[in-house]
This record gives sequence, structure tokens and C-alpha cells, in this order.
Amino acid sequence: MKRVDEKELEVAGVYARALVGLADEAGEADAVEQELAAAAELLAGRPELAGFLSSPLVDEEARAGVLHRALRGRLSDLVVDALQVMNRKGRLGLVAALAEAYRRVNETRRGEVDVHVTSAVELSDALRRRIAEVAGRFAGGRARLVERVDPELIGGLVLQVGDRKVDASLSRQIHEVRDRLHQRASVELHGGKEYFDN
Amino acid sequence: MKLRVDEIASVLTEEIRGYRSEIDLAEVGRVLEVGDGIARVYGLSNALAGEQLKFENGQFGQVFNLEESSVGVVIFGDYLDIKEGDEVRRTGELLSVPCGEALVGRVVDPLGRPLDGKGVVETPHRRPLEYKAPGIAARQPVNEPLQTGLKAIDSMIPIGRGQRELIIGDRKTGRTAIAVDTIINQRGQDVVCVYVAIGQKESTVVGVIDKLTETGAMDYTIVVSASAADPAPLQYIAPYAGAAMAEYFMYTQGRATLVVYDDLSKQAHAYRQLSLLLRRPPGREAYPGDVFYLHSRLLERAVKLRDEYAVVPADAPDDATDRSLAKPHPDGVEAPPEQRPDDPAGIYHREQGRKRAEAWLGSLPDKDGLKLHKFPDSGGSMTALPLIETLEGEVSAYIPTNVISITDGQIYLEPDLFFAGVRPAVNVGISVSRVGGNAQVKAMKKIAGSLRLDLAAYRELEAFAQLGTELDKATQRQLDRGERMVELLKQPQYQPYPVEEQIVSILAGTRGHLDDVPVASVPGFEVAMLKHFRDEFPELLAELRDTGQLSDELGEKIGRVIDDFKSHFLSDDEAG
Repeated sequence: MKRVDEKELEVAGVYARALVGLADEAGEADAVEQELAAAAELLAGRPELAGFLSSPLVDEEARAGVLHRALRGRLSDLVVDALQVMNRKGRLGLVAALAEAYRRVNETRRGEVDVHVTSAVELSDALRRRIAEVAGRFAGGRARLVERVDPELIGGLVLQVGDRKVDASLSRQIHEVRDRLHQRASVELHGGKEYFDN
Repeated sequence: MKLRVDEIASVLTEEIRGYRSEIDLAEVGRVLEVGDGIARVYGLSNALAGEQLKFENGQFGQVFNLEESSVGVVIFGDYLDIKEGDEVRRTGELLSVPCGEALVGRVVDPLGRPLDGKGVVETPHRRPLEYKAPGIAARQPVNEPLQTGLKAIDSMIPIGRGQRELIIGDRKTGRTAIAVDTIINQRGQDVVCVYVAIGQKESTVVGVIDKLTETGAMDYTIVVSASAADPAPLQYIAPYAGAAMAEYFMYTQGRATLVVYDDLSKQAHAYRQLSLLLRRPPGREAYPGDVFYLHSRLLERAVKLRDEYAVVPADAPDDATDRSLAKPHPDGVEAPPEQRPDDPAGIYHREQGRKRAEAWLGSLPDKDGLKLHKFPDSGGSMTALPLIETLEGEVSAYIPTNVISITDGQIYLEPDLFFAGVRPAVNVGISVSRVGGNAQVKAMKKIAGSLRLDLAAYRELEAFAQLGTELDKATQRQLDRGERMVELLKQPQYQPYPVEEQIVSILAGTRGHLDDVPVASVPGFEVAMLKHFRDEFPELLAELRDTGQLSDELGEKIGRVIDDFKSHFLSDDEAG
């Protein structure tokens, strides 16, 4: 998944919250999430289309026409209307951010929490279930695992929920031991004890 | 030379064996943007204002701005290593610095990391960088002198322990020299000195350290340095770090301390830089709105703490600091209202408290089993000598006026005087000490009382006399006296005078003993005269030093010795 700029997310969050509210009333909250994800993916693969949508050189009316002709009937009315509103505010460059913000808001609505799991090797299903269960308790919600494999961890796991990070990786412990040895060595060598033979 | 590898290896093995792995739980954020010593960090939604943060590369930072979804952080150290997306973790602690005996004689940066190549500073003690100044009840008025060793200052602008005296002047007028002389003069006075160099050239700082080492002053001095090459955040916290290191000695050992901030103009510049980069709104001279508080909260930490006394069992050790020794009287005898302690726990405060405690102790039936005890960790002090640089003598600029209004007086140095050879170049007319008078040695007060006014009058007459008008005798005499006093108050750098010698010198001038000594011979005469006193009449100097009083009789004796010496000196002079 592409990382989205936090500042863009902040702006897109406003649209996302409004859209989730409307979609929820219509009972289409999850469907809209999928549509937005598809739209974001479509744009990511076609930079010229993304450029067309976000460029200030294109006039707003023209863009509204294109949106209408291309999307009306293919996406739900709710999503097309939302895009039209964003067009009017000159915010069409934020479609990817909207998709991500929508996903986060909708996730919270469902009582789910993103749990970023970094491990040295691919997780097994059994492990995945256990981690999800433990992490869910830790995070206070249903855990949605976002997995990443990083061989540099050597072993163990790193879990992150929001700002909170639990690091049980081997590489951190090795670093810690290294720092302590560094410190101890400099204390010993400067502490006046003789370690040198003349 | 060969390293004993086995021994080191065994120490390290033991260290590894002692390592207990724990799961590390932290709150982390990510760097959004970084540059010029500041960073914006996304996340860290629970971070507190002023909290210490740690970056991935080991550098420390401090939370400065709390914004909706990010925090503004200042970075203490190399910010070029920090990249966008780096992890930043909360430490849950406020910034603190190491302090204690281990720091004395060392040169450290504002985070207490050694700069002198003498190895790690090993101390178990730490104190928070920002510490709230003690309130009214915890203080007592300034009542003990802090001798600078400079005649011009100790006589006319006396400084007391716990005072904040500003040293202000243009560049190259000898501000640092006054501060350094004061530190040198604290030798044997049981004063811990902290010299904080902020935004200075490294070469200047090395010069000061060399001088302090040469004169033996490093034995009781800590040097904190954030030079011009250090990032602005370090320059900004340097004075607070110095104050924290001094506070350790003041609060835990009741000792007197002296802190020199050299200089606060540079600190204000550093703070202005940080504030502008963090997009805080600029005010006058582009300083942020809280630049006054920047200096006022620092200088309020200079204090003379109250003395604390109690009536305790006679067998209590003299160094006892346990306040619970002051128990209620075993027979339930209570002090009468006029001898009540200041504190329900039986503690008496300040000088009046000591008198009440003594009176009560004297009235007790079992007074032999009790004694009056002064808690040794009470009564400490922190004297602050902030320095401010003015441009073209402009004291009405923003920062100088702020600091003038915060401090208890200022020593104003002038380039004109400096280049006319009057050194220290103190402008006596506009220099004041608002509280030091109470702390001045009585003998000095007696002879120097009118010195300031006389000198001011001389300056006025001097301008007048330059017109070449005929002067009446009285005026001429005043001019002659003034000329000799100015000569007498000159003093070479790094040669502080003990207070008793200052008194003899100034007495010689103000009582007219120098009136018939040629002006050009005054400095030579003074040196020879003081040597004469040291060699032939040490008992007179000792009496002055020990009693601090100048009785009429002693004054006359000293006057006679000066006159005798003068007749020899002048005849030698003529003969030679």
C-alpha cells in the first residue's frame, strides 16, 4: 500500500467522515470503501488521468463533465456525487488520500483497529490468529493486521498500534546490549582502573 | 603499552550476563520534516510540552509546540543525521542534566556531555533543566557579600550572595574579564562557580578555561559551553543547564554558588531563531512574545535560601539534615507565643527565627541536653551574573531593557572609559546595585559611602575644567582628589584584591592621604603601600578581615602607617 501524506490525510479526513456518515445511512459503507479503493488504484496506475484531475489548468466544468460521463452508472451515485463536490472545491488531487482516510474512518466505525506487525519471517496462520487476538486486547478493538516482513529484525516481533509500539525483536535487544557494552567500556576505561601494561 | 584484554573481556561478559531482556513498550512518532535544528513529528499524540524525545540516531529533542496532529520539536545535537520518516520516541521525562561533585573542574556541553576529553562524567545525580524558582517563604534577604575582588565594584556597586547583577556593555569593554575575575576571587570562599558560555567563539572559551586553570579556579568551577558552532537549541538551554548544576549544590548542600551567563544576548538570538523556525509569531525586534519570560524565569532561580534552625538533642551530629530531629519537647513544654517556631514541625526560619529559638532554648529546664542546630543544607545561595551585549551603548534596546528590569542592578561598561585606560571601565554614574548594600562589609561601607557621589561630581567638574577657566581652590582640590581616585580604582586583569586590601587602598584615597602623591605615581604607590602593609603590618589587615569593622582607632592607625610610608616613598621617588 502506498503511503499517503499525513497533511493530505488531514484534509481528506473531513470528506471521508462526511461520506462515511452518508454511506452508513444508506447501508453501503463497506461497498463505498471498495469503490474508493478501486478508484484510487485506477488512478495510481494512470498518472495522466491523475494529472488531469488535479491540474489547475483544466477548468472545473470540463472536469465535472468528464467525471459524469466516465463514472455515472459505473460507481455508486454517492461516490460520484462526492467526487463532484471535491471537484468543485478543487480537491480532486486527494482521491488516494480520501480512499485511505475513508478506510480508516470506516474501520473505526466497524470497531476495527490497524495493527502493524513486523516480523523476520512470514507469519503462519496459527500465529496470525494468536497475534490478532492478543493485539486486539491490547488495542481495544478487532485487530486488522498489516503485515510486513523485515529480515533485519533477526527474530521476534514488532507490533504498532497508533502511537504505541511494542518491540520484542532480537535486533533491538542486540542493539541494547551493544550500547550497554559501549557505555560500560568507556566507564571502565576512564574510571581510573588500570587496563594497560607498561 | 599493552591492553589487558582478559580483564576487559571478563567485565564485558559479566555485563552481558547481567542483561535481562524486557519487551520494550514505547510511544513513537514519525519525522515529517526536519531542518535548522527543529523537526515536526507526526503522531506522539500524548507527548507533553517540554518532554524529552529520543530520535532514531540517539539524539535528544524537546517538545516545543503541540499542534493538532503533530508536534514541533527542537533537536539538541546533529540534526543532519535525522531523516524524514525516522522514528521518534517519547521518554516520559523532562530534560535533565547530570550534576554533582563529579562535574566540578570539568567542561561540559548543556546536556552534561564532556567536552574536555577527560572521559565520562560519572555521577548518580540529575536535576531537571527547568526548575521553578523558590517562593517568598523559602528565601531570605541578601545579607552576605560576594566579593568580586575589584575595587571599583566592591566599593561602589557591592554584590551580595543571591543577587542578580547584570554586566552590560558594548563588545570589547571587559565584561567577561569582570566575570572571570570574580570567579578567580572565589578561591577559598567555598563558592561553587559555574561559567556558562553561550554562542561564544571556541577560542575565547578556551582562553577563559586556560586562565581559570592557571589561577587554580577550575578546582571549584564548572564550565558549560554551547559555542557559536553548536545548534541554536543547545545555546538556548545552556543557561538553564548551568543553573541546574548550581542548584544541586545550593539545595542539597546549602552551599553558595555563582553562575555567570556569558552572554544572554546570544541566548535570546538562539531562542529567536528557534521560535521563528517553529513559526511562532514574531514581536519587537522579531523576538517572540515570551522572550521576557525566557530571562525572568532563569534569573528568578538566583536566590538566597532561608536559614533553618531547630532545637535538637545535644548528641545530634552537626551535619544532620533530618528535619524530624526537631521533636516536640518530651515534657510537653511549649514555646510561648513570642518564641514559637515558624513551622509546626519545630523549624525556625532566618535570623529572627534563630533569636527566638535561642530564647526558647535558654528558658528550658533541660537545656543542657539540647542545642540549637542549623541545618547545613539550608541557607544556600545562587548569585547570578548575567552578561548582555549592547550595540553602540544602546541600553534602550529590547533585550537590555528586559534584563535590566529583571536584575537587582547593573554594572555598565563604556568603551570611552576603556580606551581612556580606565579599566575596569565601569561607568559609576549609571551602575547600581539595588540590594548589595546590605551585604557590604561594614568597614567598606564606612569609607566608600560617599565615593560614588564624589566621583560623579568629579566627572561633572572635569568636563567643566576642560574649558580652561580659573578654578577656586575647593574646586581644584575636588578635581585633584577625583583624578587620584580614578587612578586608584584602576586594576589590572586577573588580579583580584582581598577585601581588606581594597579597604586600605580606598581609605588612602577617600581620606586624602594621596592628595600630595603625583597622579602618575598613584598606581605604583598603591602597590608598594599594600606590600608594606602585608610585610610590616599584617595584624592590621587581619583585624580588618576578621572583624569587617573599621573602628576610629583602627582607621587612625592605618592612616598613620600610610603617611609614614608616603614620606619614605616620596623622598625615595625624588632621590630616585
